[in-house]
Amino acid sequence: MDILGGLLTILQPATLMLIVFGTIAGVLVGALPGLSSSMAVALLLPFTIYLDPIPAIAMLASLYCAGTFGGSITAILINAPGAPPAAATAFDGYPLARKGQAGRALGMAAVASVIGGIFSLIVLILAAPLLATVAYKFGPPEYFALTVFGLSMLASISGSSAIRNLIGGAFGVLLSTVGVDLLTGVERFTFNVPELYEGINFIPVLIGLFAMAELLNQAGAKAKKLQRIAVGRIALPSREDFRACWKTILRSSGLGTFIGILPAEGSTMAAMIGYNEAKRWSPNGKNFGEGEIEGVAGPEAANNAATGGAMVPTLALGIPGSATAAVILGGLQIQGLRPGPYLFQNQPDLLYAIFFSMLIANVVFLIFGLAGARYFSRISMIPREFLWPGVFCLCVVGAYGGAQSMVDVYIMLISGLVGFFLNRAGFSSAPIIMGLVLGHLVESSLGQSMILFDQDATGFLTRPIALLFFALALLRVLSTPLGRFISAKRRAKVDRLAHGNE
Amino acid sequence: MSLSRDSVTGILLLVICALLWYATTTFDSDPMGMTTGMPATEMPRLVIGVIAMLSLALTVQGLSPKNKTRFGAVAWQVPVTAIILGAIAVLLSTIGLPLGFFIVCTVIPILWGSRRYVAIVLFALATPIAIYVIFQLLLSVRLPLGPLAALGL
Repeated sequence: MDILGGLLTILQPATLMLIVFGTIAGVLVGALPGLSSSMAVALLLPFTIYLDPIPAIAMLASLYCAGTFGGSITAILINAPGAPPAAATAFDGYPLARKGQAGRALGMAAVASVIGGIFSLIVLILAAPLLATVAYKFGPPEYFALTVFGLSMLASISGSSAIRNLIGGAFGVLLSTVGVDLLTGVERFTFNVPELYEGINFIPVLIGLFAMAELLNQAGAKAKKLQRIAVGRIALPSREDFRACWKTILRSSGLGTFIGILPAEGSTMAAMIGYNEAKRWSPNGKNFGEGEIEGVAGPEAANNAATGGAMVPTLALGIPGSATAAVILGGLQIQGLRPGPYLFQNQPDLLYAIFFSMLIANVVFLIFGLAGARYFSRISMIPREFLWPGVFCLCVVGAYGGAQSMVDVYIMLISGLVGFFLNRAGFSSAPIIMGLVLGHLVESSLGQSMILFDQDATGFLTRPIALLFFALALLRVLSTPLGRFISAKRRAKVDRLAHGNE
Repeated sequence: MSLSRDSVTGILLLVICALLWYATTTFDSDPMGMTTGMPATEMPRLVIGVIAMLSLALTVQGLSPKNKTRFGAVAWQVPVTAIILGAIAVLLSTIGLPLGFFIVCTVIPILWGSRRYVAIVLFALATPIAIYVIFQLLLSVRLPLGPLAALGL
């Protein structure tokens, strides 16, 4: 009955319209270099307050799916990935376009994305309730250990330094402690500013870190002359192409979903691994980089599969699977929903509603991707001198709209300035957001654990599941120096191609 | 010899950590702290400690001779853009969002090098109108309109 309830909610005309709007907005934003789906979801978040929870989350989830695909259009046509997850698509997509096969590459990108997306949604619908069932057995110590594990995974997300990502995550947790402590009534870091008593408002910080910081980056960037390659007929992949790529698509779908499920790991890493594995297993591996169709199918299936995967821990555990999922998690919290196992008890139709909305988004962007790629690619030609003042106006309205307070606009601007300096110092915004979203859970679960253990932290040693998560977290952090050597070249290439965050 | 970006960032973060730690000593006393699991200072101090340790690692990493990344110069447009946007934001509650957006959409494109004046004027007019229609009229967000409120909009 829950599945029927979810489907019926989604099939409401207003909800369907929001899903289509979210999908088109996602493809457009994804196609714009510098604008990421995280940023778009953050900008839309304040306006979801005016909507019911399910249509609101459905729209954000659709935008997430479509934004990941949108980046591939400009990656293929102008060698400028609209979003970091599409960076790997440019390696072979652009050479294909230069050979006059842009339509073939776009068709494959759309179909591989849809297959990857639907595969991950099936995993979502099967795995999330199972994971939630396991999570019912978690007490505060297990939750604390799980959040520590989630934060430790930040060590390996896209960016130049594991240490920086971990600092960013910790900084986010520290931000979440600002305000009056609800348990003790003690003011923390409020500096006698009354507006800070209730803590730092999540939305203006999100908008500032993602959008305003990038605006200031763009102010100092030199305008790039982009050359768009003309697109011929865009069609579904031929039987030969599909025969050549189906194994790659399935492999990448599995890999992408698995990587998405890991806390904090997003579509960018999934796409890079999807590309590398496609190259490793392909009989034409040596042609990769020169216009190999499998080089488009691999990363595209993987990056879209990561979106559904990322929703698994987000919904079942309340631990975001990616930066955009962290923003959606914030959206759920704003709607008064508490993500985690009890969400499935209290709002059983929400999971199915998200499943169907992402499914519809996949179908809608397949149609729009095939029919409108040549038009979507034109949006990347909007001069940055016009694009970014427009983004600023949306940032102000977004920050103001939630609580209708100018203080939030100032917080957004300060966050943007802080985000700009952090970017200059090599920090990414995504870990800070993750830390900010998880901060309250980290503190409350630690506090409850300490009560449970009668102020004796060695009590954690008596909890095997908590110990497992701590061990995994330690392993993750200690393995980073080794991983850095292996992936340094790969990340440098991604960072060069894609400037932004997932 | 100039310090690497990692070392400069690490040292700066250590200073910030010291200041934040000091700030935690100014928190009010916390009689309920132990009964609620942990005192209100505990979590911030724990996190500040973690940041300090990681910052120390970053500083040491930056001392390696292989680490040659330095802070680059900031283009002059960045501080000017930040000052303009900050000033407009402060004025927004007085001049209203539409007028503020008109100024931003006129000044920033010129500052960033565009000389297509007709396009700039059209853009500067269209953006506030579009935002007014979408947010004020369709979504019922009450935007501060400033002097334009006198027109009965």
